[in-house]
Amino acid sequence: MSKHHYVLVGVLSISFLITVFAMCQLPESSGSFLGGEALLVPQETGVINLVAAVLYDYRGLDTLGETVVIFAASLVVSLLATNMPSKMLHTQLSPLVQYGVDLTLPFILLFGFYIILFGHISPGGGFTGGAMLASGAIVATITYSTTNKHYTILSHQANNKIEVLGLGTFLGIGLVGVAVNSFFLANAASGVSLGTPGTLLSGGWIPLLSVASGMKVGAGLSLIFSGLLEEDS
Amino acid sequence: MDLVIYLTVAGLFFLGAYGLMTQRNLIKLIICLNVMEAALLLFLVRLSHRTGGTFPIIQSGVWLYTDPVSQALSLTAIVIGASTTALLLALSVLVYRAYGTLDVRELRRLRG
Repeated sequence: MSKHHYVLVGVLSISFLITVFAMCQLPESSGSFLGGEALLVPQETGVINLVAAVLYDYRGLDTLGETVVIFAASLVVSLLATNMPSKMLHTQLSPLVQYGVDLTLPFILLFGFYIILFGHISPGGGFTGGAMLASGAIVATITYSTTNKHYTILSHQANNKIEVLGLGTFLGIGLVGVAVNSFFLANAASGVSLGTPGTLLSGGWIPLLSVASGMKVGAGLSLIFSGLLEEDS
Repeated sequence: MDLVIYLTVAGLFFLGAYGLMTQRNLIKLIICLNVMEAALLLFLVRLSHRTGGTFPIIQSGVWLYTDPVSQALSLTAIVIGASTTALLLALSVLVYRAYGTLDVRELRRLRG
């Protein structure tokens, strides 16, 4: 413990106290926010999940940027990765893990698809569901890969295609809004039928956007994982 | 209850900052960044909280919901954080391959 160390701890402790004091000055979480305004959302967007309405309708452009960030990250990770085979995959896991993954993997993937498709009427959406699908793919790769065979649910090329297809779907839906003389990523304003809020086929473009971002996130995270494994399959 | 959350947020954040300033291993630095990010996410979720509000999905007979905007923002932050972490890890793999060490002091000595 040098002298600099004590100074650092002191400065950080003082900052800690100031931060806690400042956060205590925040207004109490009162009940006056989002009362009746929230009920306008199903009329405007056709979805009852307010987070999905914010993500895919009100701030759809931000979500597009976010998916592009994942795209860029997976691109750069695959670019940085070399062709050295990974040592980790050659570990033989116990039969308990194998059978456990055999049993749970279909349900992990099914739950991922469910979360993506029902994202506009229940908690979830493209990002969470896509992350679940990617985690299923990662678990399968780690468990089923043996010394001489690198197991993947989808090949590298298929993941690439799915990711580009998801981005293309997102952009295409955005351009529909422009094509009908409205704004980019217009939902209700592009004339699409909103349906009955709360049913599976509701929300206009929002379920499709959710599926597109789910494809992008799932494939993108799988690509990042295979890139970090340093294997060019 | 609020005070507990504020203490956790500030504690995690400055613990991460302390780690960033004292640790020498690149992997540990990445973990510290993630700890700071977790503190910020907890703070965002606290900001969305409304006393008596339920989760932001419209149901009949419910009039008070938590704020969906900061929840959507924290979802964005999680995704961006995962992407940056993946990038940092990939770069540290390259650093280890090129220099054979992850110690930032060693790496600084190798300059030039």
